This record gives sequence, C-alpha cells and structure tokens, in this order.
Amino acid sequence: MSERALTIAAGGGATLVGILSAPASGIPRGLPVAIILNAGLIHRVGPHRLHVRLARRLAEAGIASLRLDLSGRGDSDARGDDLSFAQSGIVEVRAAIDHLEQSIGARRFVLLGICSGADTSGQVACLDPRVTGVVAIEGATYPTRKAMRRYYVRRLGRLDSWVNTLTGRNAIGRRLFGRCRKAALSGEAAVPLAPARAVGDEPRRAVGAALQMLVDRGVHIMTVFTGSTPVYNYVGQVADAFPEVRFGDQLREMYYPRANHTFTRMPEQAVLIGDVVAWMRERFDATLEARDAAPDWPMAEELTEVVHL
Amino acid sequence: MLPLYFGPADAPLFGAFHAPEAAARSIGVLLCQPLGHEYIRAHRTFNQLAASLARAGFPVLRFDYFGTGDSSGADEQASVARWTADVHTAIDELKDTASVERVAVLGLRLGATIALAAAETRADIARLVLWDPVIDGRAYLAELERLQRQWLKSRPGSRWFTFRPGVEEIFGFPMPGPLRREIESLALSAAPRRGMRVDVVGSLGHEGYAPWVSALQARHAAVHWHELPVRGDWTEPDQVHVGVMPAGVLQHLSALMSGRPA
Repeated sequence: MSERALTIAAGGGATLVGILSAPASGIPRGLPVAIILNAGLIHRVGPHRLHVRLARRLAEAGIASLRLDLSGRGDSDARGDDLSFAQSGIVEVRAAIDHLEQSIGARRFVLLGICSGADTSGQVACLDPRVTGVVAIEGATYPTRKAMRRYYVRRLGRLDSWVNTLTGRNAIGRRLFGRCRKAALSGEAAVPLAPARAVGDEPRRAVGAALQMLVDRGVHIMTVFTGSTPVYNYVGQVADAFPEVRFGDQLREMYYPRANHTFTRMPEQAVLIGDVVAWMRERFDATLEARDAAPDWPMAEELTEVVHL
Repeated sequence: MLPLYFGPADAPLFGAFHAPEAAARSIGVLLCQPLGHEYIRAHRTFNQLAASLARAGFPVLRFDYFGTGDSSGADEQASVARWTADVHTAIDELKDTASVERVAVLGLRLGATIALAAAETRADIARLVLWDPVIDGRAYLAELERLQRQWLKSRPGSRWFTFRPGVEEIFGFPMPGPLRREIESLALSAAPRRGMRVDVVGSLGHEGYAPWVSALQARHAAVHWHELPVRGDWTEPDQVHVGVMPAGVLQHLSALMSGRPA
C-alpha cells in the first residue's frame, strides 16, 4: 500500500488536496477508483479517521482510492466564485475525476460519501458517465408507509415519547397540549408530524427517474442507513420507496440500526468497512479478467504529484 | 500550501507546509495538533492559523503524528513516545525545508504536552506556545471516559455497555492499554530550557491553569499567561463530532505569534 498527496485545480481559484491510496502492486486497470468525499465539514480523514481506515482496507483488497477535501474543507482552498455548496461539490468531484483520468489513466469511478458526501455522490453520478458505482451513506431518505408505521410503533413503546407528548415537546404534544396548538390547528404555523431529519428535498418522482437512469447506465448503488435516520428502518425501503424503478441486482441496501450517523463506535466502523470492501469486490470483480489481461498501471513518479522534500 | 510526506520512508508522516507570503522571518513555526476527536475539531482552524502565520511571514509546518490523520500507521500502533519523536522529526523537516535555524512550536491540548516534552532536549526551539495544555494525564483520560460513557448512554443498544479499561475507545478512536498508561503518567513537570520563551494560552473555561503556571513561573522567568477570550469546549458532548471551532481563535493566536495586539 502506498499513499501520495495530490493537488487538483478545481476552478474558482481553489486547489483541492487529496490522498491517493494505491495497492502495493499499483493501481489496477480493471477496477474502478473510489473517491471518498467529505462528511459535512469534517476533513478528508473522515469522522474518527474512518476514511483512512477504509482507504487502506480498499488498497489491501486491490482497490485504489482518493480521499478528497472539497473546497473550504480540510486543506482545500475556499472558492472565489459564487457557486452554491451543491454546485461546487459537483464541479470539484468532476475535476478530481478528470485529474485521475489524465494522471493515472483511471476510467471508472465509485463515489462514496457520508451525509452531504452521499448527496454529492448521487448528483455527480447522474451527470458523469465515468461513475459506475455509488455508496451513499446516510443520504436523503424517502419514507414509505411501512417505514412510518414502524417509526410510530417504536415511538409508542418508548416512555420518553409519552413524556414528550404530555409535556408538549414533540409534534403531537405541541398539537394537543403545546403553546402553538391554536396556531397549528388554524393552519397558521406548520407543525410537522413527520420526523424532521433527513427527508430528501428532491421530489420523489424526479429521484426515481434519476435512479432508473443510473441503473440503465449500469451503475451499482449501495445505500447505507443507521439508527440516526429513524425514518429509514428496514432493508428494502429504498426499493419500496421507488417501486417504479427496476433496480435488478444493482441496488444493495445496508441497515445498521445500532450505528450512529458517523459510525462512531469502532466495531460498527469495522463492519461498515468490511461490507463496503466486500461489495466493491463483488460488484466489480468481473472486470478483473480485463485486469489479468493487461498490466496494472504503475504508480509512476511522473504520473502523480509525489511530494517528498 | 504544499501537502507532503516526510520522515522515515517506511513510516512517512503527512505534513502541510505553508511558505511565508510576506518578508520571511528567521523563525519557523511548527503546529502540534491535538489527538482523537479534538484533532478532528481543530483541523480546519490549524489550517487557517497556518495560513495566517504564513501571511505574517512565518514558514509553517503542520503535520499528523504517526498513526493519526493521513500519516502512516494504524491507530493502535500509536504511542506518546512515538508522537514525541515525530515532533523532533517535524522540527528537522521544517528547518530543512524553510532554511531556518530556530523554530517556535505551538501545540493544542495533548499536542502542547507533547511539544513541551520534545522541547526539553532541544536548543533550537526559541518559543513554545501551549494552548489549553493537558497538564494532568489521569484527569484528561477520566474526563474523556466520562464523556464516552455519557455519550454511550444516549445510544440505542448501549444500556448495558460498561467501560472496561484496556479494550476501549474514545469517540471512535482506540485507546489501547499501553497508550492509556502513557497518557495517565503524563504530568507537566518538564522544565523549559533557559532562554526559551513559554506562552501558556488558556481558553475560557480553562482557568485551572493558574497554580501550574505559577509553579512554572517560579522556576522559569520567561513564562507568560494569556487568556483566550473564546470558549474551549473540548468536553461538550454536543460538540465532539463537530469539525469546527469558535471564531476569534485565529486573530488572537496570530497576534500572539506575530507580537502585535489582537
């Protein structure tokens, strides 16, 4: 395993910093390169160094990866232009893909990210045909009737739910007993009954169309949710939420109900990393025949920005 | 800013070198980051602090200790002794890269403690800045463990989890027994070398340094105390997973290093 620091010009006056991890034998020609995106504002090593551990396990499994700081995070510059957070993420991931294509000859990419990184991964995948896989960890959720039923049944069994209702601290309690009851009933103030977190902003139908387009293009998708997203609560919910999409075997849903949003506990980190690495090998191993037929790309000094002073 | 790997070829350390942007000063600045979740929180602030110091003419090196950040090594291989050796390696790298003879070392939390330990044996450190240093390793660990227990209680499936020394983790970072024992034995008894200026910087909420600073001043004339008018919420449970720090830190530390009023 070897690691090198890269700098990537991303437009808008921003230079991005990333670390390219490669297997000891070099970067395999047949396998895609994983690009690991920031989880929110946390820099490229990831929450609790999770991205570093993942990158090194991927390298041991023969898969190269770039863990990248998008603009304004970690060691990357802030942009000087007026692109939005979402727009800049898309532009910068595509700049990183261009860079890896030109510098090491990579042709296919799997994007992986937690939270905002999951959202950016999906957005770039829709725009860039070089993306052949997406691992969306704790991204946007689209609740189903079954998920909401399970959510409320679980809440009914919890003492704190009853306490919060009776004291007007949750949505139902506010409606029934809270100070904003009158306003809520008159429709003057929206008091959401649905849990607030992580419901996707995009219209469901549009997301379904985008997912079908990705599947038709051959993109493999892995979704990961944890107990921190209570409106995702059973494996199969993504498929249920988009019944019109013919996923075939290109969707893998993983659910870790005891893990939190950033996989803080180490045993849960280990399970996640193992599952992601196994999925990458399983989904993309078919291409290893091509790898066997052609020599791996070397980690040639002149092809990467190796900085050893 | 130049990202780079330096140190032993079989165990390289990640560093970020900020070249001076103004008339270069004759002294380089090494930044020693904290460890664990405090490292995650402080990272962007250290990037910005380094950039600010570079604009003031300092060549600056930030780096990740062995087994942390982007440096080589697994978390479980890390040790205080290794981290202290890494500070020496980083000082040599900074002197070599920036062509300076002397350095200032600024460390935060455990990074400050490690910087002070490294400074005991070096004559080329002109100045030490110790920001919210860990002065009692046992109390530091006890506080981390209390926070970890408190956080675990809020997690599903954690009700019966008890804290067992030797096999534990603190906010997603391993705390193996040997590292725990090293940290527990940390007590800031080191005496800075004569001729070295020492600045102790305490954030709001860290006023407990007074007796230690007084004892240090009694032994060493050039020890100065500064209060940073921002909160150092290193132990706020709601903050431990957040990669940001309070505004106001940068200008005060930059001013302190540059010798101008904040």
